[in-house]
This record gives sequence, C-alpha cells and structure tokens, in this order.
Amino acid sequence: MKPVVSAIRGYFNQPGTPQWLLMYELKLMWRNLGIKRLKWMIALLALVWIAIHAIAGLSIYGFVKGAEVGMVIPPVITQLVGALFWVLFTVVLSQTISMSVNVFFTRGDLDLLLSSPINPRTVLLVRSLGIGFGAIFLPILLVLPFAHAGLFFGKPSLMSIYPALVAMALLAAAVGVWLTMLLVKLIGARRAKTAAQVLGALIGAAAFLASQFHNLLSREQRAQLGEWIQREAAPGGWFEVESVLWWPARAFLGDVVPMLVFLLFSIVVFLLVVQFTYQRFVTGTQESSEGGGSVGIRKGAPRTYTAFASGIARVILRKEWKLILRDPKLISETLLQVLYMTPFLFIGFSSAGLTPVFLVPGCVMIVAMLVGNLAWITVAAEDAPDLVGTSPVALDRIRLLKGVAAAVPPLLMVLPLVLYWLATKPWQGLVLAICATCAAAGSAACHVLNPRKANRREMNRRGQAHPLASIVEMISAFGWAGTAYAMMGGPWWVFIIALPLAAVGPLFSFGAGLQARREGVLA
Amino acid sequence: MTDVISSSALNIKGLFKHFEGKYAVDNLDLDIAVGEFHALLGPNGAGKTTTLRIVAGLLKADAGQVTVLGHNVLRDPQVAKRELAFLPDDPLLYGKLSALEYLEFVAGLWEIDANTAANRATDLLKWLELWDKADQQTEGYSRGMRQKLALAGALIHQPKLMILDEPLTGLDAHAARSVKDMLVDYVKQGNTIVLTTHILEIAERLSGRISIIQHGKIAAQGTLEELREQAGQQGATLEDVFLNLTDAQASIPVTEK
Repeated sequence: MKPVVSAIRGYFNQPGTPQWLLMYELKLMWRNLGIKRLKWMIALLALVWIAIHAIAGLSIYGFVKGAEVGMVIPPVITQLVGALFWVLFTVVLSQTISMSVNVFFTRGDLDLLLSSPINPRTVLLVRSLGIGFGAIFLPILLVLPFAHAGLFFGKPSLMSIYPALVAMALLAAAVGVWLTMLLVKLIGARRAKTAAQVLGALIGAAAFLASQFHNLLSREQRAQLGEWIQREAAPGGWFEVESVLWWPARAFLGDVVPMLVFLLFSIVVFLLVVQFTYQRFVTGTQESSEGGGSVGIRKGAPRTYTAFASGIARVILRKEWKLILRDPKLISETLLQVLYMTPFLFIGFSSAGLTPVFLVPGCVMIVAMLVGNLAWITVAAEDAPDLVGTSPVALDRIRLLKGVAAAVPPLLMVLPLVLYWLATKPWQGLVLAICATCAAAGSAACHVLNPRKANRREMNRRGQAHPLASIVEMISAFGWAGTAYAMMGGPWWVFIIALPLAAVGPLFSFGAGLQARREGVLA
Repeated sequence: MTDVISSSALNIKGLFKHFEGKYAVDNLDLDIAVGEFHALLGPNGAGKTTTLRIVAGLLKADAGQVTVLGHNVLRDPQVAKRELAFLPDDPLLYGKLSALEYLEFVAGLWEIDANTAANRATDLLKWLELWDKADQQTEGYSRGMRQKLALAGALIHQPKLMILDEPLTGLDAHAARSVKDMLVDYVKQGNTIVLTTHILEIAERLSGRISIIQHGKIAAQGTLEELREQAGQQGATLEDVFLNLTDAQASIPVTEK
C-alpha cells in the first residue's frame, strides 16, 4: 500500500507538471473558501451530507422494494431529474463564470504563473479544471449521496453519478470560461469583469425568476402553460423522454450509453474551449494587468476645471454619488437585488383586489435593503479612511453626510411611485413616502452610528464580517415593512410588533458604536 | 477657533500605545520646532508609523499628550488637523475619481473655497506633471503618479505641518528630485516637515535634525553632527551612525505590558 501512496504523492509532487499545478489550484480554492478555521461549518456540512445520505437511502430502498424486477425508470422520473439537472447546471454555470472572473482577473497571481516556464496553455487548462471542480460543490453535496445509497440498496448503476458529475463540471467550466473570454474579446478585460459577474448572477437567478413567472400569469394563462408542458412532454414533443435534453439526466440515472456520450462530449467541449480561448486568455491577462485599456481616459490636455464645489456637504455628496455611479458592479448587484425581490411584490395579487398586499411593504423593504448596502459602501467601505480621518471636519458629520448620500438614490427610485399614488391613491402614497423615508433613515443610521472599516469589494459578504449588525439591520427593515403593511390595512397587532422592531437596528448600532469608540476601534 | 502662538510645530509628551500586550510606543517624548525639517528614523516595527498615526488623529493613544502648533490633538482635533497634512506610505486614492475630482474632494474636506481650490489644483497638477492626465480616473495611474497625486492632496490646503511617511517611494529620479526641492522650499517658507524614510541619504541631505526611534522610544536625537558624537563616529555617514545606534539599542528588551 505504501509504495502506491508514495507513487501517487510523487506524481502530484512533480513541480511544474499540470497535476502539481492543479493541486496548488485546488489548495488555493479551499483556502479562499475560508472555512478551514470554521470547524463548526465543516461539522454542519458533514451532518447535512449524512442526512442527505439517509434521505437518498430511504428513497432508493423504497423505489427498489416497490419496483418489479427489471422495471425501467418511468419517463416522468427521467424528465423530472432532467429538469432538476438543468436547474442545477445553471447554478453551477453561474459559479464557473464568477470563479473565472476571480481566477483570471482578481486573484492577481497570473503574472507570476505566466512569467514562469510553464506553458500558458497548461495554466489555462489547469485553471479551467480548478474552476469546474470548485463549482460542483453543491451537486456533490446533493447528488453524490444517491450514488453511495444505490451501491448499498441494489442500484449500483447509480455509481454513474461520479462520471456524470465530472462531465457536468467540465461542461460548466467550458461554457463559463468561454463566455468570460467572449466578453473579454467583445468589451475588453476590465469591463468583462463586471459584465461576467452580472451574467453569472443572471444565469444563477434564471431558474428562480422563471419559477416566479407564474405569479404574474392569470389563472387561464397558467392552465394553458400547464397544457403546453404536458403536450411537449408526451412522445413526439420537445421534452419527450428520448430527447437529447434528458441525456445528462439519464447519465445520472445509470444509463451507460448516455453517460459515456455525456462524458465524451464534455471532455471534447472542454478541450476545444481551452484550445480556442488560449490566445484570448493571454491577451486578456495582459490587458488586465495594464489597467484594462482606455476606460475613463480622455485624450489631450483637460480643459481648465473650474467647477469645484464649495461646502463640505456638497463635496461629500458629489464624491459619494460619483463613486456609486461609476461602480458598475455595485449598480448591477443592486439592481439584481431589486430583480430578485420583484416577484414577491406581486404575491397575494389575486386575494386583495387590484392592489397586491405586499406591494407597499415590499417597496419599503427594497428601499431599506438598498440604503443598507449603499450606506455600507459610503460609510464602512471608504477607500481613503486615513484622508477622511485626518481632515478637520468632525467624523460624525462626515458619516452623517455619507448616510444621506446613501439614502437619497433609493428614495429617488420610489419617488415616481409615491407621486403617482399621491395623485391616484393618496393614503397609499403617503404610507410609502413615510415608511420608505423612515426605513431609509433607519438603515443608514445602522452604519452611521456603528461604522466598521471594510473593503468595498466584499459587499456580497458584508454579513459575514458582522453578522449581528446585519441581522439587526434586517430586523429594522422588516419592522418598517410591517408598519407599512399595518398602515395599509393589515391587522392592528402587526403595528404594535413592527414599530419597536424598526427601532432595533439604530438602537443596537448606537450601543455598539459607543462601545467600539470606548475600545478605540473607531478613531 | 483660538489663535495659539507656539514655537513647537509638534510636541509629544509621555506617549504610550500598546498592541496585544506589547508597547509599540513607550513613553515617547519629541519636540519639533516650527520651520524644522525633521527626519524620524528607525528599524521596521520601531513605532514610527504608530506615532505618526496618533499625531494625525488616526489612532488613539493609551496615554500622553500631542500638540500640533499648540493645539491639543486629543482635546481639539478639528483645529489641530486644520494645520496638518498626513501622507501615509501607501496612500489610498479613489480609483473611480479623476485627479481633479480627488483634489476637489480633499480641498472640500479642508473647507477651501471652490475657486481657490480649483486654481491650486491646476498649479499643483501642472507642477507635478499630472496635468495631461488630470481628467483620467486614478485607477489607471502608475504607483509614482498616485504618489504625486497624494502629495498634491496633502499640499492643497497649504498645511503648516506636513507628516510624510516614505514620501519618495515609487517616484522616478526626476520626480523625486523635484519633490525634494519642493519640500526644502516649503520648509524655507517657515513650514515644518516630519518625514520618515528608510533611504538614509534623503534624511542626511534634507533634514536639519534627526530622531532615531527604537522599541517605541527616542534612542537618539540631534543634528547629524550631534548623532555622530553620540555614536563616537566622527565623519561617519548617517547609515553607519544609524546602524551603530540601533545595534546598541537592539539589546534592550521590548517592554511587556
């Protein structure tokens, strides 16, 4: 046994080889997950995995016991698994795009790798492999237990899940890398960073948004959609069980030929993408390290600039709004948040006449969330805290102005709705105006009163750094949404619960900010 | 705002600051006169940057007193900061703002009137040879260009005391020379500079007095001639004197809290 282990170790430890580079790549990805230190997280994941094994075992045991010998899998199961496969694939694809942006543009170690004697094609191949295997964490967690359960409960063919997962990883990596490189080709490396992030998020959200689509349909339209799906799922339709669309699902369900075809197809696509994007990868990396070309550069000497603003308030508001407007990543993430929330606004449409029950509270909630994000950017993620800290203006005043800068844009977004309702349904307009303003002030106050230094690139993970602060901010947002709900005719007791909840965030932040100042955390 | 006449540009008395049980600054006293070009030298981790960040109001001291031109930094920070500019060793700019927009913002923080600020910004950018790129967002700037722009930001409110942490890092020879000349001119006009650097030749050529800081304390202080006397090395370079003095101090253990 020992010689085998040492031979394997020797194979992966040969410096400069693709397998050695892949090990380095996977190690970096693991470290970037940041869960090495969080033992409880690993323990929790292990528990979840065991639970999924139990569920998988029970379902396969039940299926095998209830089935007659030699029974084939019913078409509907294949179609359902197929639909699930494509939902999961969109999630994995979104991951591979986001990881492509990270490993090609953000991590910053490509200068080192490309200046080494390792062939750049090998670097791209290994990076893409790393992306694929890094992105299938969720399918491994959810799907692999079925392979193990199949082995124990008389369905060993389910071991085909292993090669099917490899095929899925390779295909998702290939498509993700290709799309990212296509964006680099079309719009340049720097813009591609943001565009790829937006694309990845949109693809990831596609299944969710599609699932919410039916909320917007009338009863008749829903019935028509159901009939169409049934018709196309029958033999001769687009989604019939023999359709190529379901071959990946059949590969997962243990069908050998589709599994081999799926695996081979994915390997070929993967290698083709590496072959044809290699040149773009090298030029894109060079562009990226040069600062990404000519974005933001005007040719020739500047005209004399005399439009300087006077007064601290104007200067700070101008600076913060310029930085927000010039951050396409922030804008795209913000708009995506609104997009995710939109379907919820229309829940209850049919049960409450013409006005959906959650429309006004939902708008209040969106305003509170957006202001929270922007206030985190303007207050906590200040790019030059030393500069601001050494200025003669009191920090509290600067933070207050930054809070205002964060609150104004989301309030402007709902202003047309407020004005429209004030003209057509005055009470509704008034409730939105009052509650949205209070919610915006509450969310901004959470950051103004308890500012913590942060990096603006980590907006997506801001809740991880200070989970309690994020939770109380969310509680306050719910508090104002609840207040709006009660004012719009909801039960009176909601009002009694919601209003104190709305005060939780600012009060907690005030206390935490005082404590931080006392400890010298905030200068 | 009260007018305070002080012969000290910077006065530090009994300053203490500890991190995780160890004193980074340990009962430090320092007095720098108005119109002085003072170099603060010391090995890595000696406490230079911590001291300067306390002076700039970016860190809270555990104990001690700091006055800038007679204004107490702890009691009256806003007034003290008005006369002060602090340029850290790796100044962070706003990548999405142009040079002019950055200077507009900095001038606004010091409440400089818009026309004055615009004129000063134009002059500074021309002098630092950044004018051609004044409309370009700073994320496309080189390290040296960013350093120059940060320097312009430090100068735009015409401070009386400038604290510069490694100000010449990243500058080419031409730019470094013009910055050095500017700093000397600035001191000749009656202003004060406190500068930290690891390039001892700069301290030797520019500064009037030098303080060597080690283990959070002033280990030696004086003109180069006085430091040579303290080290017993007549005619030696500052590098030799520095190494001699800091070697002698190195054997003194770090104070535990």
